[in-house]
Amino acid sequence: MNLKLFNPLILTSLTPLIGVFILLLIPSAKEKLCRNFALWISCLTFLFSLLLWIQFNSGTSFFQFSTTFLWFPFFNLYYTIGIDGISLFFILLTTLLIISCILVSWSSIQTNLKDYLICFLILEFLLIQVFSVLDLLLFYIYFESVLIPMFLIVGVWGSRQRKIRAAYQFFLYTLIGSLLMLLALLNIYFQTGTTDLQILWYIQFSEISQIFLWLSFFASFAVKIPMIPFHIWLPEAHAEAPTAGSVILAGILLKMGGYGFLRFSLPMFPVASIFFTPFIFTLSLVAIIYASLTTLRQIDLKKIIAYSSVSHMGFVTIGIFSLNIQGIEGSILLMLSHGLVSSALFLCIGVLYDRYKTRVIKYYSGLIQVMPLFGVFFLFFTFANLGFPGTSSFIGEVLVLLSSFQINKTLTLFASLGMIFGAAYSIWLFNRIIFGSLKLGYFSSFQDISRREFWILIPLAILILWMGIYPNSFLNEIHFSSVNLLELISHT
Amino acid sequence: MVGGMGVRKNIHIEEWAAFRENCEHVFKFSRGNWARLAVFGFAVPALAYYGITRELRLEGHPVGNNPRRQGAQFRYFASDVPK
Repeated sequence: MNLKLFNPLILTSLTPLIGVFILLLIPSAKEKLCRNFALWISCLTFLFSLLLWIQFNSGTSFFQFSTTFLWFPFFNLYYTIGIDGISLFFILLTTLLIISCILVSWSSIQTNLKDYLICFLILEFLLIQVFSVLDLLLFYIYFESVLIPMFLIVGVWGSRQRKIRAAYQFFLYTLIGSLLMLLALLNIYFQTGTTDLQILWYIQFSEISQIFLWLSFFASFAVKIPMIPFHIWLPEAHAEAPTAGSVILAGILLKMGGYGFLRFSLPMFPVASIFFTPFIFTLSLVAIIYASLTTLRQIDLKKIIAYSSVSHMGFVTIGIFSLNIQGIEGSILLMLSHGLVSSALFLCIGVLYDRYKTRVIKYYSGLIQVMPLFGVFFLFFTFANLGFPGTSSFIGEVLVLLSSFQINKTLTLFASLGMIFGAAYSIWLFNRIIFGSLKLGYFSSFQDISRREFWILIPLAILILWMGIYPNSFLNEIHFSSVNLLELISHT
Repeated sequence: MVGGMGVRKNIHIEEWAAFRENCEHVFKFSRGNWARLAVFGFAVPALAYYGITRELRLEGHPVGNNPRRQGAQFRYFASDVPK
């Protein structure tokens, strides 16, 4: 057993789990203590994850901080964890957003607070494992386990009666998709005798096997990303989840699908990935156009952001399946950017919902007159959402369009319509909420964002600017892993 | 977060929002809806698939075909990427 006690990856993984066990010992009545403790644990986890970035060697594509534990040696199953440039920033995004989630729920969660915080810490542990395990079976276990705390967060702490329906929809969609992946996983295990990812990458499956296995994995990842027509659960789950639940859903859970494509589908089934590229391009294009047009018709603030997420994820899948360096790096950057921007927008909507308990856009107008600071933040995040130059989304979208232009100009032409539609729905959303005359008939009092809300939003704004102005800080870490991924595809 | 400043709800807006949200209760498979489903659910994606595949084939990309079966070569070699 190659265990290094101060391996930052182990520290990052175990801290939320240790936090859960200690939190279980704190009486539920001591809500303030529970809140403070969960916040400190999440901050500590974030600091450990920063160590991963600081100590990360960007000059290699090998897995780093990797450790192997004996798990079921008789079945040739080992618990292997490690990260490369692709997974590093997803872990950082997870640990950062969990802090935002705990802060945003500071006073809005009134019932079963301790259980709520436990759910988030468990979720953090599971998500870190999803992005760091190097074993297909373990990935499947953690990929599925994420459903349980998320189901509880939507179903128990959701906002309305529809939350139960939304929670079940979310659960069943993702579970059915993943069952096919389980069958594929069993098939792989009985064919090869291992589920170790680093071995599976170098095993050549027959063409027909690749096609069936790819489709099984696709069913799981397409639901998670989500791609049209597997997206029905997403707007419902977003709309009914509490603000923190929406942040996690949009910020991290959707990225698990993209990560799955990058980590498993492309390197393990390269022939099938190439075979299905036009199919993916078609679904992505349809997602970009249809989801953008649907966004324009929405009247629920959260559903607007949810449908815009479907549209943005269309760009991500185009980038991934362009199978060139700009596409891979652009899609990773776009996923990270979307994790920040959509989370920030959900937090902004949470600010409004906590005050006025409605998400129907018809009630809101002229908020700049009474909530100027909120208006500034909302303007910034809206511009980031539409891919304005200088923000992170711009870099990601341009890289993806550059990559697709090299292989299909028609696709790029129609996909770029998504940027125009994105500008339309984002600016229209901003215009309807922030400008116009104040509807005093519906509201009795107003309050701009509090200090806590300010400190939740400002790190996200800084990161979006950083990624937009100097993306090299992120691309440098991603580059060698992306090159390695392309090498795996091209040498098969 | 700040709370306790609830909106004074308007019955007409609420009814309108509920109508829009619960569209599954009022949706019917009429001839018009079947036609829309056929056009936007099948014809448009099929056209997009045809267009994408056609351009890929015209430019000689292996994508869309089985590269081994057709003897095509991958165009995306990682060695071409500046390190």
